[in-house]
Amino acid sequence: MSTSLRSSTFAIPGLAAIATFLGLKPASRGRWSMPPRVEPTIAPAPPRSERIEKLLAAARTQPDLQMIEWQDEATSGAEPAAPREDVRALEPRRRKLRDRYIAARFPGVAHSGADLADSATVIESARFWFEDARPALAFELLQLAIEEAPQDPAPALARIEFRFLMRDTAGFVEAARAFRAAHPKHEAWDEVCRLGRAIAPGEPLFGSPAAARAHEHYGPWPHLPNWIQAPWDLTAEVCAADFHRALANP
Amino acid sequence: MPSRYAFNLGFDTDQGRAEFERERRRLEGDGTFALDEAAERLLELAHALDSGVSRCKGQLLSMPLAWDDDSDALGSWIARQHQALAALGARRVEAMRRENRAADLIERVAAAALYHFGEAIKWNTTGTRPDYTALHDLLLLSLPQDRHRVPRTCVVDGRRRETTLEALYFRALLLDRFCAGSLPRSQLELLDAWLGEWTAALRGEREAPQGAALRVDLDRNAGLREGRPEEPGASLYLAVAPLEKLRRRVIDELHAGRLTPAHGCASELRLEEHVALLDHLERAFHGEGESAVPAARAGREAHAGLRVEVWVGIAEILANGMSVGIETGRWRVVDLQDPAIEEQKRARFGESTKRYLWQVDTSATGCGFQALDTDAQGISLGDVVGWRRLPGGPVSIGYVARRQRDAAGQVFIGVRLLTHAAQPVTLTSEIALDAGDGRATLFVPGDDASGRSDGFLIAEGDYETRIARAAHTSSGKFRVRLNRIRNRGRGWLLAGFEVTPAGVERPVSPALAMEPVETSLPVLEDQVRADAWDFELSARLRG
Repeated sequence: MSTSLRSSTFAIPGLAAIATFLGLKPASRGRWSMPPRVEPTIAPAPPRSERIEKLLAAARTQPDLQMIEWQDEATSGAEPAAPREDVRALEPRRRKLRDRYIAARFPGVAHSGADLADSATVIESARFWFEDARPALAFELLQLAIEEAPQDPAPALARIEFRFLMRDTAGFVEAARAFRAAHPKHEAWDEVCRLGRAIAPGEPLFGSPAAARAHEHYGPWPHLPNWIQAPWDLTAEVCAADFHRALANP
Repeated sequence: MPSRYAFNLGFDTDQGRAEFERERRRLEGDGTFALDEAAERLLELAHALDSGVSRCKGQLLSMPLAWDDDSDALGSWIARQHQALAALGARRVEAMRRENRAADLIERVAAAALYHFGEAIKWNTTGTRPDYTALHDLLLLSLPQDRHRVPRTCVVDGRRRETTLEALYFRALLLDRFCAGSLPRSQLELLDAWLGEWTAALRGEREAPQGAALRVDLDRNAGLREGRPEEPGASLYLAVAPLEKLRRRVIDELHAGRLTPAHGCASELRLEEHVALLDHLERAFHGEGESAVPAARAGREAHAGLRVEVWVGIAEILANGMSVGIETGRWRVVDLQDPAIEEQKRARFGESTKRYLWQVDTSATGCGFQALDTDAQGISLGDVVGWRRLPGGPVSIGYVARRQRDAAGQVFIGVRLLTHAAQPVTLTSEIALDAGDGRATLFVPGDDASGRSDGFLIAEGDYETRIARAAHTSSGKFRVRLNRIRNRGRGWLLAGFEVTPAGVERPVSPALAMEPVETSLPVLEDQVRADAWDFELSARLRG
């Protein structure tokens, strides 16, 4: 049993005043008494010719506009990311919890963090989730793998390519920056810059545009380096369609 | 200060429960106390209830999904006590406001009432909706001078927690939104613990925020709904983005080997519960797939009630729905001693073992069943179920996404559809020694003709990515290797796979096959060295 404070007479002192004070809209069923409508006061309109003159005068004056600094929505107001600690140096209790989480989150892929050192399996699983429209899981797995084996560039490069495929500019730049910091002299950096100039042309991290190369078109998708280790032939796709046809339409 | 209520707090016994209930009724019925004293007594009784529940909660939550009758009774009793205290608190707040009593005491009682509203919603399994108007009024009374945002400390589960009246209000509403039978009790408890940590994000705004938001109409007896700014009425909006940000922080903490919360009953739950709740909240905040907005509820089509036989679990679907592994005795009828004949005879009278539910609505994504409590026993959240829409038609398969019992002893079961055209397929190992070890599975075709969203419904223990298996179809043999988990539930997985053409078996020519195999070894001439050690000595030592 509960008591409602709702009544047409507002038994509680001040409740109607509170509602009015807060500017909450009145109820259609009499929750608050409707305040009397206040008609806006409108100044008498000037003659038409006078208004036209004013408009023309305003149009002749050059407006003094400030330059608008355009900020990317994804980066604006973002808190600076806290530096991530080295997970390989976690105390045993926390290490165990992390391993248990990895096993529960990625069943069939890893039993513990140590299994994520197998970058081929990690990238293949991430690609599957990406194909199944679950990119958050793919990126989480790659992030965990990068933390487990920071010396291995493969998961970091795969993450860059996934960001490129998603046309996620902010994510791409962030992933590229992290890769540059972790592998400053890696030979794939030129390739990252080439993709970066395509997706974020104004980003100074990727340098100035270079001339197109002789063999730009390669990989399963044109112009992509295939760090995500997608198969090069379509045998599996053709077989999958045949299999579907055989079973779904027997 | 010692409590006035020094009674036994063992709520797992009838005596402990009766003792508490007696005190509560006395406080409700006794009008002799002054308002302030009655309020103080109410706060102490509320504290006693919280302490008593804390003692038995751990044991209740550690039980498997299906509770026994005693646990159900205890859970219902706890819900009733919280509900009664919340309603009493709301009445006391109203009376004290009328008498212009001390604001601090009023707000303490309001906080207790809001907290117990949330607890009542959390423990209530019957699906009855709370009195939202009382909840809204408790918030409205604290809105002037932003008193609803003043931080205050309360004790929950024996631990001090910083909160606000507004956070307690939205906590109750969010719990109500997620208490639709789609989360088991353990995950609700975990969600509540997270909401306790997310106080800063539980803020209502009068203007609709950018992005997704939930809306509460203070004018109506209704809870949180998807925000539509154009709707009239006095509304508050709860932005979803800050909640999503905090959900991600929970994941970050798990990456760092830390649990959220670090202490308390919820921290002792299995990690699988944490992962399941994270996934559930992701769907609630984001929707599924690539869409960035929460998925709208699919349009429903109500049925008058179609009685259908339902099978629970992969084995039952295969056996009863598709007759896989059932010996029909069709070709052995001449053998009158065959046990299959007797089995068939018995099966004719096996009607009582079947499970019938009433299909009450359907949509593009699933359907709803109504069942008697007895028929719904053994069907839990996450179970895979199968049924036929038409006699002799294909088998539909889905999983239980919602299970809610109403007060009349009926159970509503919401099933999320996986497919309307499941097919039994036997996957056999290609390893010669395991050739006889074929596994019957359910093929779940996807919507896409390319086959990229097809899957196999298999038992949890059968998921193996390293071994390819052969599948025989009308179009020939295919080699199938499971490679991803698309969905999962209680004891089952929906596994994605890759298909490769089966290797061509080359026939061995009969002449070659019949040719005797030469087993004798060629005789080698024994070359004896004059000096057995000469090759081990260097030229210098040999002189």
